[in-house]
Amino acid sequence: MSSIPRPQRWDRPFDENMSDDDVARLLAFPAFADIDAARFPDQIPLEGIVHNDSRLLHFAPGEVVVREGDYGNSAFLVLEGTVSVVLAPGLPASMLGRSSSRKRGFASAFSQLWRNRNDVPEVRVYERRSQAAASSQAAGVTMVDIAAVKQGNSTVQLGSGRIFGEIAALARGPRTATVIADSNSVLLEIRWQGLRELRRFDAGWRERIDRTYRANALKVHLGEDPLFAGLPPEALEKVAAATLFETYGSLDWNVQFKRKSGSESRDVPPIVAEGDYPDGLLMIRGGFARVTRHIGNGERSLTYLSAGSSFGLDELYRMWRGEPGISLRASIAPLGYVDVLRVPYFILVEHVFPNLTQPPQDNLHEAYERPLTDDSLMEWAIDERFINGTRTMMIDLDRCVRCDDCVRACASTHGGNPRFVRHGKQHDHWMVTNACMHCIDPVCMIGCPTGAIHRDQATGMVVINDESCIGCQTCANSCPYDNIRMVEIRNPLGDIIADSATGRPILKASKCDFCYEQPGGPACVRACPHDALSRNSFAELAKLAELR
Amino acid sequence: MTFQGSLRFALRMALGAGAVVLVAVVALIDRSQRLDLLHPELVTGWVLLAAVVFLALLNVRKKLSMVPVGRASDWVAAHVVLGVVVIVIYAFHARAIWPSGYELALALLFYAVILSGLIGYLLQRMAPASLANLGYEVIWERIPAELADMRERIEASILECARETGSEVLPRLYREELAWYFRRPRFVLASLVGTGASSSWVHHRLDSVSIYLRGKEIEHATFLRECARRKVHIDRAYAIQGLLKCWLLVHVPATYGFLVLVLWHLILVHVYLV
Repeated sequence: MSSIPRPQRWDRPFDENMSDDDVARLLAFPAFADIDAARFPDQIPLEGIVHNDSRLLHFAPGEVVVREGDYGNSAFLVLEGTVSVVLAPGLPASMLGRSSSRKRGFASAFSQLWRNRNDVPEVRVYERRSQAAASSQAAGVTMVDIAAVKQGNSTVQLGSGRIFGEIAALARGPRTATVIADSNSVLLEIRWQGLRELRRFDAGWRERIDRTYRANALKVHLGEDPLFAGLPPEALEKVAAATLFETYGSLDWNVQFKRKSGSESRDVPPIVAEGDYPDGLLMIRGGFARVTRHIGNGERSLTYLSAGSSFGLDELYRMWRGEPGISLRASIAPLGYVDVLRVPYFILVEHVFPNLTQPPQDNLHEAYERPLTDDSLMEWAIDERFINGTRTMMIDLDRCVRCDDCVRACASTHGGNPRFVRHGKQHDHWMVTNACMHCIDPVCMIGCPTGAIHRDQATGMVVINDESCIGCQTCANSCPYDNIRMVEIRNPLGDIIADSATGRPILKASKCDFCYEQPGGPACVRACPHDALSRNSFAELAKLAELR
Repeated sequence: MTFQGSLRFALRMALGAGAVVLVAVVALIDRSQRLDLLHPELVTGWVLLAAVVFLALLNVRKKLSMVPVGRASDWVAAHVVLGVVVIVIYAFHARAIWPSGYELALALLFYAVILSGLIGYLLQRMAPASLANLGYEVIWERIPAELADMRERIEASILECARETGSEVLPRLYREELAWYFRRPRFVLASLVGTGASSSWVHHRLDSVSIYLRGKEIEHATFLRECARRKVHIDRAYAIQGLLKCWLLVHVPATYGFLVLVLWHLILVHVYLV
């Protein structure tokens, strides 16, 4: 038996070239110099975070630092120079180097009949693409004319010492704005793991990040909730000021999930437990949480919560009405990770409950009264984390004749190679196939070095820009459901295209794109002769009940 | 029901209604032309040909999955409904179950198409649930690879057993009997009918030698039993999926054969009879 040292967090630093001198210089920078290093635990020292969780980046004037809509996993600290944040409505997608989402016409779709090479899949006309790539580089796919941008858009300039991108990094949300370097700039990119530790152990960073969130996003978020929508601005201000931010679980849940061979552990400490005293309304800002109630010797999932859901309102309302002995009737626990806003009870008493004309709906009781086996599909979907999908490919095996027409249809709309495998996990007569689910929390996007995998801005589908994909496999390794495949590409003669330096085949990430460019929607659904294949979102619980 | 669902339900209803109307119109024309001592076979023949060509277009639809020409399931529904209509129109047209001459070949091909279609329809309704109930899903094309992988693991286990125990029982059993069983899907017909022959064959052999096994050998035999259980599922999946594919091997060629003879029939009718 051979042995290796246990893998550690900083085995692979963010930047291999970060030197001790760089670290010393960075620690002297005001944003770090003010931090009390003694507050950091021995195993996660401040110096270690700077050394291993950050990297120095140099940008030329007009270079795009982050693109609006990209999913980020890092924040940036401006060290030298200035950058400009482009405010809404932002830059057009064509300037940001993304593929366009224009649908094909009927003729273009039809021409795939003879353009597809079924004998040679994944053909790329590489010479033409190389020229196109070279010319687009010259034209500036990631370079923009900064003067023109400033003329046509509202921008905010950020100078040395300013931080940006922290909200998207911590919440794994999309970047809310595009940031462009104004001048030759040096930026420190801090990956979210390090940012999380800085926020956790340093009050200054925590306060800075929370203040930014409060100023920019919290009031908007609260205002979108029907409970707070009608509040006057000053009351909303008070609610925002009293609201607490909490994060539970692990942001890299996909790594742990994959390690456990794709099944969600139920041994997770709850955020609040059944029987607890309700002290505030829990609003889910991101991620998922499971709502459970104790039954026999286990926990029964009554439902799950995702962004926009809340928990505990009914109990708080009944407490306000003076009912005695009120406690929470269910527990909630993070599924992977969850970002929660806790609105304290006293705030609800002061600003919300007096304005409620009707008591809140009690859905939990109804859920608990359902026959036990009714929930098995939901329990399974939660355990397997299929609830993350918005376009999950489900096959009704009681109808499917295994003809593979869906696979052939996919291949004939994607250059002769299908983008999914008609195989996957099964529950009862349902199969969730290995096809991209276009997740609510697309962890595959985290870490893509080129932004090739992104959400299509028009349709919201998670798609890959083949031209900017460098075949690094980060997305394929991150996908918790193994729904991204790496494929070797070929020239029109059928020869594999190889790297000229190493001779190794060039790989491209390949996955279902929901036929976002095809007229008529996903070919797999249209091709199924028995209506056995459907694309569903587990979020639509009513539909789930229908499916059951 | 969603709007889309309602629309599709309405489409299916319209299909049914259209089929009834088509049959009624053909029946009326047939009757009126017969009363007028005309040739209703000409009208019914052309209607029949048009219907058969439309039925054959389903295969073209399958090749055109990249263009929005309707959902395949709607095409299949139309195919089934029109297939039934074609039987009625054929009865009006032919007026004989066993015609003579080359028309007998035409009739036989027609019956082959209809019969294989009906069998296929029933199979597609019943077989998927049997496959789903296996609880073990395997892609047809992957079956040889699955079996090869299984054989590899079994042979590794047998070798390990021989090395660990020095006993010849399991290696001999594998060489003499089980290698044949695990080489490819076996007991296809029995698996199709569900007699359990595959399962009893392999378990009988494992039971027969169980009295010679001790200690570690029992562990390896247990692994063999587990593989045998999976093999039984694979045999059944192979049989059912094979049947789901086989009926098309009759239906589609018979359709093309029928269309070729129809062409010949058309030429003869228009050159010599009309």
